[in-house]
Amino acid sequence: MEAKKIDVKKALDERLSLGALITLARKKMVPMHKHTVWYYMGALLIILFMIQMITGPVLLFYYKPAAETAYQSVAEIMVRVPYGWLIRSVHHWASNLMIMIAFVHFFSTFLVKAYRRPREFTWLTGMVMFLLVLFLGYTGYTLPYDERAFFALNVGTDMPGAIPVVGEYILEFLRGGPNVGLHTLNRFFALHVGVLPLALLVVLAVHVVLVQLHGMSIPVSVEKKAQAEKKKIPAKPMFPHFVWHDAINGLLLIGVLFTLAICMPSELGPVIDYLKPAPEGVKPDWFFLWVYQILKWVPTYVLGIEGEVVGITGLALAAGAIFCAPFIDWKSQRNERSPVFTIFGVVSLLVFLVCTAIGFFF
Amino acid sequence: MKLKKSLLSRRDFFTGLIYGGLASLTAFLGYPVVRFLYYEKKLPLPQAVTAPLAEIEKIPVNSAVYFQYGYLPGILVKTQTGEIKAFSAKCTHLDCNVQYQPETQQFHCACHDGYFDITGKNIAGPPPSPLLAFTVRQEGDVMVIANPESGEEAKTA
Repeated sequence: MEAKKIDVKKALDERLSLGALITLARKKMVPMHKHTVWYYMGALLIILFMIQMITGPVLLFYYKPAAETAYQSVAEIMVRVPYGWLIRSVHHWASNLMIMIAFVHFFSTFLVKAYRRPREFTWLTGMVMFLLVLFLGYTGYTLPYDERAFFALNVGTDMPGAIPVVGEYILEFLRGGPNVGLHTLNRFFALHVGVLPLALLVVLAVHVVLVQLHGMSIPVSVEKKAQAEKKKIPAKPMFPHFVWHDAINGLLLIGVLFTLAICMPSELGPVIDYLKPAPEGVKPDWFFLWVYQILKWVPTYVLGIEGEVVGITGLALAAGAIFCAPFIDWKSQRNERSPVFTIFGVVSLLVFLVCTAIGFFF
Repeated sequence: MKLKKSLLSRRDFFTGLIYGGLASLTAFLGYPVVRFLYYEKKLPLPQAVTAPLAEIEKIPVNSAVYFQYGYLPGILVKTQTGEIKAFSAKCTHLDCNVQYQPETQQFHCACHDGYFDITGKNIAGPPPSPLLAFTVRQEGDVMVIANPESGEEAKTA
């Protein structure tokens, strides 16, 4: 007698309708053109976020979030716990890659004007996530509570202090007092492992749903060219073709990630001494170097206003303009070429790259 | 030689390759995580702990005090006859701490109503085995409480 075979696939499909999802993914078409490569960034970011969501909680098994114990517990993770160095290094490098790819995703979508109608909310959610990722990077940098973390905490929490009116309150809120002290680390810890990832997860869900709803944005230039040549823009189905591309990219990414983590494990600086002067040549993490470099160049006083205030206000205005791009770039909204915003984007990109490089090498 | 019938189709072969690849990738990534999570500092039980005799003498007859034996909680009883006995205070059922009841001269575990007699033997309720008994002996002006399972008790203190 033949044993009755249980069809797991069929049983699951009956209960979860996975087939419907696959059918949907088969129907969804991804346009193929010279800018298609920028479509890959989102999936890479999600893969990295998933890696962070695994390595982060795992590190919490040994990390002790208090000013007195944080440094020792990170040291223990690095030297005692089996593979602790690897897991911390993977978390460290995944965050760096995440920020790097977030910059690529941001600049590429800005330059191809993907924020055009009806994708305004996709853009806004993306910008919110970009800020969240940067803030996650910054808060994570402070958690080992070594010397670098201490100065990063001082400078980083002092900066919002320059904002008129509310600055002082933000500063005290972040520090849990007038100085970086015993409460500061716990606040940053709560932000890094609780508030920020949860916010990112929620906004990410909205972002992904919106992307599925509207489909991929096609750059104006590609659309115009296709119209002029009276051709249809070629497309591939999301499943299995595009998912396959994403999988290959993901594998390459994991390869790069582990290579970096193994060859350049994350460091732990000297222990904090509240009375020691800042070490010579102390700098922020690379993703804030451009801000650091710009603020260094701004003179002490500009037209009688404090240089720090001018610099931070200027950067905030530029960021605000980028944030509101879908609402002020009327030309793109009419599906016309918008050279002003292209130039704005290219200049921002160059400022970012040049200032980061100068900050890094000099 | 050409086989008449292939054991698996080309499609099956490549599907297997993909799933096999995924499985080995998961193993490769999962192994460090599992090793990381199962790290623990090895905390062997000490061979013996000591208590000043003066302290022991202060304990009233037919009562008990708790003490730390390595990572284990210990319970030290002065019986009605003045004899000193020491046990691990961990109930052998589900690891709650037991308490001494002077009225019945038994140990009671309140979690699931387990009872042990004054020798540590499980006499009622769910506990499956007796309490771990320590040996107690006097050495000068200290009381040495030792774990009989660690063997080398005489050396320490």
